[in-house]
Amino acid sequence: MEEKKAKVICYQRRARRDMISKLPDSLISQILLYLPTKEVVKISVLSKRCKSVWLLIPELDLECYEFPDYNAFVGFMDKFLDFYRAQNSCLDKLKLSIRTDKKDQSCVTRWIDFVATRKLKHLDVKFICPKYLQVMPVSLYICEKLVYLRLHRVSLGGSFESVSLPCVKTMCLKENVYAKVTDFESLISSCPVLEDLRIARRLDDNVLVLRVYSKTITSLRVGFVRGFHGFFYFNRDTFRAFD
Amino acid sequence: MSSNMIMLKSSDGASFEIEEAAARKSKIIANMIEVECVDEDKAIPLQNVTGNILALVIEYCNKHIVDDDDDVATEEASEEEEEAKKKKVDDWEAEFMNSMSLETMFELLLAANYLNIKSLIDLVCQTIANNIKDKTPEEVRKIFSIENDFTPEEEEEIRKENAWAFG
Repeated sequence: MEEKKAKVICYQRRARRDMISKLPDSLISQILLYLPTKEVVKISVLSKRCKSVWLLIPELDLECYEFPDYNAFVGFMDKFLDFYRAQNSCLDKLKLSIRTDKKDQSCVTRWIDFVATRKLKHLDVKFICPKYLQVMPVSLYICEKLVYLRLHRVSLGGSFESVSLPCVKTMCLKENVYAKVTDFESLISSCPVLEDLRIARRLDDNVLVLRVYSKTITSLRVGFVRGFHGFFYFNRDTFRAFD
Repeated sequence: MSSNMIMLKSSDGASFEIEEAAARKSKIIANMIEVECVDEDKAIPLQNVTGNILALVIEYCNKHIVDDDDDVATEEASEEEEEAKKKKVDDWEAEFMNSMSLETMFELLLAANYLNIKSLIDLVCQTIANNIKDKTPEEVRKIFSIENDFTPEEEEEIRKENAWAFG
């Protein structure tokens, strides 16, 4: 009720002069950061100035189902990243929620390859496909500036020789599958500053024993798929919070 | 130290007295204080900020300096207390932003940018974004008096290009 009232007030409030166009690009893009990507795209139609500015946003948050079909979604992503490549810009944050029944490994791989080499700090990928698991590309495991990583229903590992995620503090791994039995451990031990780890396992995740070796984790949450009986080991000196 | 007072002078000649701790919310002024550019008897001239906007900036800084002091004093505060305090600040900020016109809001944003007060920039940007959210482009144009400089054909082309977002 209160929210509704506030909206009415805002709607009645109008500017007599065009103030947005007087702002520098940096401030306009900062305003756009508070809007979901879909709303930001709508800004492009307001005026020529707005059209040139909306592409400067350093964050993308897209849900596949907002597009009329999967191809439209892929087309938008490719076009957007092409523009970023041309401008030599960086993305700070990429959040993708993909639901498809098409077996198309290549698009997610090329998107992550592109953003991973460009100072990406926040990656959140959810991939719902009944037929297969999206394989994460090698570029993800050497993402130097990454601070936040959330992966849902993807396949990880296989080539973990050079894995290094020196800045990752928060990691959320949900219903993922690991290529080798040791991959989960390798992934965790390659994050020297990891503080917050959340895991939701599935029966066929290929992790026989979940071992977490870390001296930095302060919060650990492990969830199990129903019917799952597993062992859980952790080894660290300074646990402060554990729930 | 917090009782040190500093004088600020707006572009239209109005003078304001402000506690140093509050003035330090502005990185620009904090830098001036660090390098001892501030003469105790002289007001700092702020060429880009008018008196009515500066008054709002000072109101914001004063409010937040009190809150920051509280934070230090009650390190052991319970979660509930923290939450209640945060709600109090949020309510104050909502009321503060609600009390001004959109034009004022934009001028405040430019002033916050010039003075480099990050939390105030964030607050104003968030409020402006809330005014854009869930509205059609026509409504946004109306609210912010944005002149449409596209031809109907150009506009149609852009809408077609990103039809998914306009659905």
